[in-house]
Amino acid sequence: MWKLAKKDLKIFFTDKKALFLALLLPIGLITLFAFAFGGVGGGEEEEGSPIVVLYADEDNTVGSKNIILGLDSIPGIELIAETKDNAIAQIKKGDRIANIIIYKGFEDSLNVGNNIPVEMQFDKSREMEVSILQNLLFSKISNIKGEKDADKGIDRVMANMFPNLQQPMQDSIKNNIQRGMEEENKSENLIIMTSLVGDEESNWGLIQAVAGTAIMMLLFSVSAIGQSMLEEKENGVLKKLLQSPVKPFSIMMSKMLTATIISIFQLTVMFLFSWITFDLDIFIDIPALIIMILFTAFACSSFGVLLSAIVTTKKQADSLGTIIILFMSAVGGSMIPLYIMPSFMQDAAVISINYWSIQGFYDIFWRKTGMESIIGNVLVLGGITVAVLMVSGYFFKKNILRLA
Amino acid sequence: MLKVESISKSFLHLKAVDQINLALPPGMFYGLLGPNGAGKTTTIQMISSIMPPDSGRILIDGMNVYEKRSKVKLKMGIVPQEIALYDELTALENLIFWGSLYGISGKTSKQKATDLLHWVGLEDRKKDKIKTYSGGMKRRINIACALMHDPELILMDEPTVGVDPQSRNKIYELLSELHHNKKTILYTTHYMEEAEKMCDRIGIIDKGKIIAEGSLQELRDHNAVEETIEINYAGEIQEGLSGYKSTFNNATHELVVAAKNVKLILPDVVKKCADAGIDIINIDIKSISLENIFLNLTGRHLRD
Repeated sequence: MWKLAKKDLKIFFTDKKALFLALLLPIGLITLFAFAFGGVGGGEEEEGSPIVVLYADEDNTVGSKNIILGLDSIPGIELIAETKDNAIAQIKKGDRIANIIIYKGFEDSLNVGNNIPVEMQFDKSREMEVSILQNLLFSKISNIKGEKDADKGIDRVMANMFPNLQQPMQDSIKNNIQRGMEEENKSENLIIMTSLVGDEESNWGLIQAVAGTAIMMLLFSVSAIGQSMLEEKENGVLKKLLQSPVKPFSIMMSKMLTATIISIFQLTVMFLFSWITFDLDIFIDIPALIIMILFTAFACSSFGVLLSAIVTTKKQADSLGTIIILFMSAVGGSMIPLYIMPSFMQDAAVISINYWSIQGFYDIFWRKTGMESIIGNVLVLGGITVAVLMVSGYFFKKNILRLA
Repeated sequence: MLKVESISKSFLHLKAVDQINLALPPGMFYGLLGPNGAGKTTTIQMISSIMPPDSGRILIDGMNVYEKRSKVKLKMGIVPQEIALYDELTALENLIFWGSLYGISGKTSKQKATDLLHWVGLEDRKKDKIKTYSGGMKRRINIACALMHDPELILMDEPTVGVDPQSRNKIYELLSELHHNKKTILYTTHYMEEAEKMCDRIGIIDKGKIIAEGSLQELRDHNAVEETIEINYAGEIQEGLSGYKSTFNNATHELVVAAKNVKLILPDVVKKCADAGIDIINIDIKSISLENIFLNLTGRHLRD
């Protein structure tokens, strides 16, 4: 048994490239997920990249300013004043996650104990960050409100109702009343929460799951199609194709065409499946959806062609393809929603096809901002396609057409 | 039909093909015989337009292969050494696909493919995927694919490598038929029997150079190699046959007489053996083979 194992180990360690890739893949993924989930590697610069929250202080009183200053002083949060319309536009575009509006009469309401006119407008897809913000805002408001209520209200009531009550009993009753008030003043009651992006029927998690997974799986599919070119090289078919009247460049472009057709088919089936099974409304904007599917298919297909052109054997393509796809998918938001990642990783996401495609599908299904908002994504995906095909052409000539 | 003028090709410091000249008139079956690594495949690749020679030129019907590539390709059918087929497609689909690259389409293509499948004896399996075929069957389909566009010149690079004897004989039949139909064929092999059996003209290639060329008879005639009569005898003998070039070995009881044409001297050799009291058990005549010629020219066997 040992002899057999020894032989296998020898073979494994002899293939240096396989060994390298076998180690590189898990190391790469560990690093990525450590950055994404573990808060590793941020450093000072990272700590200086806060969540930007917009606000409009229409009350402009000491109380409202205290709220703003209180929030702004929390590490990791930066408040920027913005007009209501601009703030709404920015949230709808996905540039900002929330806008806090402190309406006129805020301080007066605090003093008289009326409902407090504070609204938080937000992007529902950033649920986690919004929830944190909501709690922080609630905490700041209830601190001020609580102080006032406790000082003015509870003590007076206690004194009137139980003038002879001993101090420990007074404290116990006071604490119970305060807890009850906090319960009653829960943030949802205290703050008006308005979702600007997404409606009750939309489910951003579903959109994330569908778009993210679809694109990642698509990359795997097209890399396999691209690899068929290497298979053809290895089994002599490519040589025979070159001996036929077919132009060499046509061979490469035929792979691109195949990959594109299969990509369109695969994406269409995936979205139809999501519509039938998960009730994802894919008919919100059909022209925009078709264009996004087309350009996602182009970009992913060009990646498949590039992969087969830059390596010389199918085995290399297998390993390298897996690494690149998992890397792009992790960084680009296929595996983990981007907002969970540190900002430098969010910045790095733009190098991936996944990012531009997923954001495009978000615009269509979630933000519902239509054709206009996906133009940028489409242009970038188109640019990626052209650039990648040009590089592929160079390597195709260098690696694939080299027969000897 | 095909004219190759002093083509050479080097890879780094290795001269794979060195000043090769070939001339194949229409209808000729030309065999390029040589061991593995002699330069046969490189020569075929240069002729097939996918590997330009470092020097020299190649003409097909008077057209330079590398100047009139698209026209010339239509005249050539290439049977590669590899089985260049799509495993997941059926035989019929493979033939139709390869034909389509040469502009054969529609009903013509299907009819031509069916005819060729019938010709190679695999019509009944035309709808089976290639992956279900035996090695010999795949070889036959490999040949059929090259003939879809009815080329005038057929380049065959060791098309019987790894084929069982039965399938090989079938392929020989097919090749004879092509020859009979006046196709021009350039055929590379390291099997001397193939070259001897089928070729009008043979070029013996070694280390990138053609070291001998001619018909089988010309190669035999123009070579110093002689035919032999191998005589097994009983007992021992003390000397060879007088008047003939001969060697003997009492351990193996073998007397070998060499001459340019042993059939002419056979009666006399038998008589002299009887006169010398040699008790003949068996006589075997060995004619000049390409193997002998190659051995004589290079000092090595073809399959070394």
